[in-house]
Amino acid sequence: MKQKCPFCEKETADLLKHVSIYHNIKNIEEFDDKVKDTNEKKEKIKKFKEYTDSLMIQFRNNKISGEELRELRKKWEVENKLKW
Amino acid sequence: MVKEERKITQRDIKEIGLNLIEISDYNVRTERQKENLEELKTSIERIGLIHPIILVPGKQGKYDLLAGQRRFLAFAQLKQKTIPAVIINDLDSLSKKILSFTENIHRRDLPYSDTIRICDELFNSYKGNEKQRIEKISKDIGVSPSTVAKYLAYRLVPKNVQMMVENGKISASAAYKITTAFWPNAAKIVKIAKYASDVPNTTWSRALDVGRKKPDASADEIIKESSKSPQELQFSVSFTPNTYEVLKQKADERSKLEKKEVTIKELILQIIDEYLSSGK
Repeated sequence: MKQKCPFCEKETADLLKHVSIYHNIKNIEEFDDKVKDTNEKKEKIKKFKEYTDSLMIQFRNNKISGEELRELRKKWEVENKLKW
Repeated sequence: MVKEERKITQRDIKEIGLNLIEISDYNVRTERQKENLEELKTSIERIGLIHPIILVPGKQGKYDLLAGQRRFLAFAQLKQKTIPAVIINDLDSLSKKILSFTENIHRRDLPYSDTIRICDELFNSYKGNEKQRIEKISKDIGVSPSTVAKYLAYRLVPKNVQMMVENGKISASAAYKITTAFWPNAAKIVKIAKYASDVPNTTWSRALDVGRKKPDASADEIIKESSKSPQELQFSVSFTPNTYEVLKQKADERSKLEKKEVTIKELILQIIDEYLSSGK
């Protein structure tokens, strides 16, 4: 039975072998920490997308300029420590 | 890597004083193998030492023992003054560990956790992508790439369970199967592994099946259910050809869905299980 890797979303028949080799996970604690970090990052990216979508709507309605849009996006990234 | 590629001959074997030998940090055996030396000592007394130990020059005129810890300890217990040894020069620290490991793995008596440790260390030391590193380790220590991959995956077996394998309470493959089945719940893995060390394989294998069907069940619930002996009921059923064809088609559909073969018998058992679980 194939399982999906929580980090790269690749389907694999042997999840343990996959995470130990391709993500160099050495124990359960590391796995749990990395799953937590991955989920937090996904959540952050989702919120960033929602925010940038709302900025785009404002931009299209001429409520903010292109430069303001870029600055607000950058500000969000910095304040929320979003690393790509 | 090892620079001395010529064959070791009788000229290379020297008698070295036991008092000049120290057990090296590079020796991959992390436990002093003092137990069960009697058989080795008897053999040495009868026929001498067949394989010289391997040393590298150490500090202050002494030698570091790279391979042959048990032979060295046996000689010490026999109150021998010297031991036949081959001295190898010009090795970097990683090469010393590889040499020590290959010396032991081919004797098939390297402790499980030491094997995991050396593969982990080499995997982290080498450059290149994962496949390249595994292939390099495979060539260096003389085992297949799939075996190297297996040892790297064994790193994920919880330490308590690794100790159980070391102590011979369960096999390495049982430890891995249990870890895989209940990953990443460490407490469950340890509990099921302890259970597995006390019961026959068929019994703890049922625990894996129960765990798969009921992923939210606690370890105690899984153990309790798998401890029950399966009830056997034998009977024969006659189907019309049409019914048989429909069942065969359904079994094929399930096989595709579950990505493994499902026979008509297994399909019928699944249907009974699902019906009973539905509470109707």
